[in-house]
Amino acid sequence: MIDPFPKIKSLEREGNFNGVIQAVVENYGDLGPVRPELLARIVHYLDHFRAFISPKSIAAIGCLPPADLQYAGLTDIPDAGSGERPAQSIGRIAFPAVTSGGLVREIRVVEEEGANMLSARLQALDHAGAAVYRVLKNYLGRCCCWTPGRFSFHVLDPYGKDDPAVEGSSLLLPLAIALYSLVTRIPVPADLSATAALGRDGKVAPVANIREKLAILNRERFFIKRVLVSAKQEMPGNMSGCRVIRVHSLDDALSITFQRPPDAACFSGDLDIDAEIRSLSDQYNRYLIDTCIENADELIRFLELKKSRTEREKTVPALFTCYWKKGSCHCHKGEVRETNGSLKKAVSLYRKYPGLVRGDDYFDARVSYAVLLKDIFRYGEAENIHKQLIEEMEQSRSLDHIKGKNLSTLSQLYLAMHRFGEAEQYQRRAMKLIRREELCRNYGYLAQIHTRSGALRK
Amino acid sequence: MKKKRKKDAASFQVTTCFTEEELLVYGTGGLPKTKRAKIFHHLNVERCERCRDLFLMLGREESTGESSQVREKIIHQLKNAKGTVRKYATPLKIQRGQIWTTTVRPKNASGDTIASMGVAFPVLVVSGGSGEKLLHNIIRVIPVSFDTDYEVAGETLVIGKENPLMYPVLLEIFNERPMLAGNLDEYRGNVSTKDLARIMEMRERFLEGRETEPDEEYLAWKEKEIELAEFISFPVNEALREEDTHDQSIEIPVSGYRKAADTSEAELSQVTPHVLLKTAGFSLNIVQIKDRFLLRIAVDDPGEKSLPRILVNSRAVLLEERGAGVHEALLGYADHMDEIMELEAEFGGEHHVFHIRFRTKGSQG
Repeated sequence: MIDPFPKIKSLEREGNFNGVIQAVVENYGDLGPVRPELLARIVHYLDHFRAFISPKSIAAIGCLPPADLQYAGLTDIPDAGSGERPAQSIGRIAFPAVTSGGLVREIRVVEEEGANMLSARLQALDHAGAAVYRVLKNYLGRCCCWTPGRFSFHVLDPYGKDDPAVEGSSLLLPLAIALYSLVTRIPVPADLSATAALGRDGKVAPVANIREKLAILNRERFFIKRVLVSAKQEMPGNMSGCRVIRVHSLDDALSITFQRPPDAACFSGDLDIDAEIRSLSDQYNRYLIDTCIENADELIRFLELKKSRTEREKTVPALFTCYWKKGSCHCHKGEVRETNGSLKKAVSLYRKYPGLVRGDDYFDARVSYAVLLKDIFRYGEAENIHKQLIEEMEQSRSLDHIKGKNLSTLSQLYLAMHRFGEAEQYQRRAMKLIRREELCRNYGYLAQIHTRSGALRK
Repeated sequence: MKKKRKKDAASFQVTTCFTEEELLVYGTGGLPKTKRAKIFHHLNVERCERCRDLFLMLGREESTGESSQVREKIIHQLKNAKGTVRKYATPLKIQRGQIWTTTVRPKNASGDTIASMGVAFPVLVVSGGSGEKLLHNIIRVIPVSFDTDYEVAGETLVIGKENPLMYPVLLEIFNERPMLAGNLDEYRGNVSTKDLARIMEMRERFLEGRETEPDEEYLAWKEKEIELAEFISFPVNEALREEDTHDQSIEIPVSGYRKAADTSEAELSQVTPHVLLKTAGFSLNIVQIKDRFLLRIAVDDPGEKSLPRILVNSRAVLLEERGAGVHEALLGYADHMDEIMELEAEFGGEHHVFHIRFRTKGSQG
């Protein structure tokens, strides 16, 4: 005979209250030593999670011995289905997941600047957000940048605690729906859930364990009557409970979920260029490469139209940053042709509008590009850029520190090329120019050169 | 689970198939006529894949004639090689993932033979205890069967023939049981890391419930398998519950608990029951709830007034009614429990004595 109590404990831990109630009733005869605690828990669920308790569970409670029901004060349970139902909510949606067992969690998207999210969550949010803003852009017909840094999301269990164990692609569609709900201020209907993967292009894809996911929704959220799944999702036969709605794209999913279109007034008409440029740097630093490229493209289109004489002072530096970041992102993806195209545009802006782009920004951008080229083993091109920069910096009387940075990165390039003599020579030159407080790092680089060249006594 | 099965709802490995030794002797012509006829029927009419493979591995083809040279070779094999499948060096430690056969003459913890089985069972070790192949080491094993038709997700698991036994086998996850390591006989090798991961995952999932509704045939087979494997854990149960004296030693782990100012009711994760004695409609238990240890008696009939007399460390305990058929008494608190407790209960005309050791984390086991 298997002890049913460990399973019941696990059900409670996962927040599966209906699962607990039904298992308790089914195994009541084997749970003698812990009956008082189990009855107390049932009372607790009815007091605190009444909206989740299904008519089936209420009916099951009625099957317990009358004396025990009386002891627990459970003789007068309100009729099944008479409890409060969860209201429609903005930025929130329930979705099923399967980890060690089935469970239901709530995605809650919030506006939270600079939230410290786990990397996997940030990538998921970025992915879903890119798809949502694609839809919004089409609807609004104007420039609209997706800024992951403005948002954060939580995966909450019924106790309101974040559940970091739940992850995977099946939360992408519900996440996108919750995000759309938040930015458009339209609530998600309480009777709807979703489980599907989602591409940045808005295409909806199937997920694993669909049978378990639908079964857990059916048991733990009896009021959910509609579930969005991919049109390509293979479905097991004989699934009762909620209605499964197949969708091809996020666009389909949003039009089924939300009965009305978003209010364009929710989105400010003008872009705050300074803020968007800051976001672009943030996206680049957080390695949200695709979003950075898409937003840079969006801003470039917007700024190129505004590059009139009167606004040049503001738009040219912004354009320069967009091309620079876009080029760097392409370089990270190993797309050299696109990288060159973008960076050439950045360089031509610097040269065409002298004084509008700060020389230090320009040099910094080019040094960074040379480093990226080194990282993808395009040593020859990287070396040429460093050499050109040495000359350009001399001519433009650049700051010593900037010159030093260029020489130090050239030294590291030579180290990678096993040209130890030149690496040492350029590092020593760099150390004469670099800021004092950063010198310790250069000593480290020099030590690396000596180690790699076998000059251990140095 | 497949819909159609060719086999009866009984363990094929025990009721229908033959041991390697029987097949070897059959190959040498050394069995009585009736048994020979049965094996012939099994190999050639029933065409049992497992036994045919095994027979071929023994180096004999059923239909070929016997030369005296071959006969001698087989007798030699029989004498010198117990295992006819792939041989592995016996490991120093018993560990998870190893397949062993059980001894045909299982012993109790005192070393006395308690049964004589007709056949050895293969088992998969899922917990090696202290790792020693000795009678005092209690390990956990899953019986291995050849009834691969009875695969039911969540209860049993088939692993392919790339296992040490070299033919597909069914792991009876539902039938996992404790065993005295000294009753293992012959080491047959380890399952692959990949298979072991699958097995352990399935084992975890088993606690969470079956995934498929089984049919009656499966249930009949399962009942039979549980019955057949009972001999494996019998010596363990005997060691834990010496029936003549009703004297038992039980170890109860003490879970740490931070009290702070917590006055909330217990979540189920803070409740740990330990059953001392269980009969139909009655159980004697020690339950840890948060930091409290309670002695609890649970009866199915709430009107039952004749509760057993309980003595803890020779002092009578007063039980209070708790409701829901439960009577209880406070034994102590997690941070102040005596390490050893003797509990006596008069029940059903028998005197039961429990030597309980409360083991806190970090204390020697």
